[in-house]
Amino acid sequence: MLLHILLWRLKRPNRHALSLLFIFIIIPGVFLASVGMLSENISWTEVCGIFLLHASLSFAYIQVYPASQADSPSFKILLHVGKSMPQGMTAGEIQALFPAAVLLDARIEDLVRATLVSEKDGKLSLTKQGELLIRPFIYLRQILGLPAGEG
Amino acid sequence: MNVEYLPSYLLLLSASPAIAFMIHFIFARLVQLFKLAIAPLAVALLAVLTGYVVVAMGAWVFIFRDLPVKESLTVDFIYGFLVYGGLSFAYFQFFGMTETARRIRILRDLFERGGVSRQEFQKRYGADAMFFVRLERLSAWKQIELKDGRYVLISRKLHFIALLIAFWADVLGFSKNPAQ
Repeated sequence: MLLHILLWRLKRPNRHALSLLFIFIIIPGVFLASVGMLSENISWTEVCGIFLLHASLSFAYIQVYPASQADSPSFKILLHVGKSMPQGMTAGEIQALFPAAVLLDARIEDLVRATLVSEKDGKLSLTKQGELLIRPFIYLRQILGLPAGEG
Repeated sequence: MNVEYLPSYLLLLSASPAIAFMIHFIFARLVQLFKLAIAPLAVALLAVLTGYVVVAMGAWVFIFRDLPVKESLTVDFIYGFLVYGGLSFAYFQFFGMTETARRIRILRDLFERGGVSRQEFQKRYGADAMFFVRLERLSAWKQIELKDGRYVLISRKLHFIALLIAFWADVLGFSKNPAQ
């Protein structure tokens, strides 16, 4: 976690998800595997148990992380309405907090930077990586019999 | 923890996201079959919470019940609670992304419709639509309410989470350099 905070504050990587996987899963996995190989006091089953606990909590964090990175509009609405209490805010006042660029363009830029989307001749299209990433999300909703989410 | 039964316990816990998914599948299909008006995220949350009971029962029936000595049972269950909690929360968030994440919506649109320009995107999925979807969703979740033409907070639960996330974004330096 310390490495994550330091790296993000000093030089934030472009591919956030991959970097988080590396910091939270790969590095600790290699470390634990080394401990398993070098130490005689700990069995491989115990090493796997430690790794499973670490990985499960790390996956939970990695899934929550986008909310802090992407400036979630729902959370932003709650924070501003919360600040305005007790009088509250009109729909117009809340809407003024969200220029189109923030809601859509910034997210498109995120995807281009992460090489999930490419832009050529003014047209946006999925890269191979983007296609690979989106398929599980589409299949999950199809299996559950749900229509596409609204975003 | 007893190393003898640890492999089967770890195997069960590793399979727990699949168990949560199967429960979610059954619940989602039942909701559609009986045409119940329950939000997809609420169904997913219910499935994940039910998973706690199913995994705990599975652990008891298949692993712990027949153990002659049950001295470390509390530690074992706390361990299982944390592992299932982490994995099932990750599954819930993964499903939540299909429901609410803008980036997933953009990727899905591009997957289904091929190359489109930013202008077409703005037209099809304009900022106004995105904004009102969120207002409706927060109202449906009973977090805000329209009173005399003004939106007010009626629950502090999600607001508290929003404060935590904002604090964490500050720790990671996003407030200073959000563009990266």
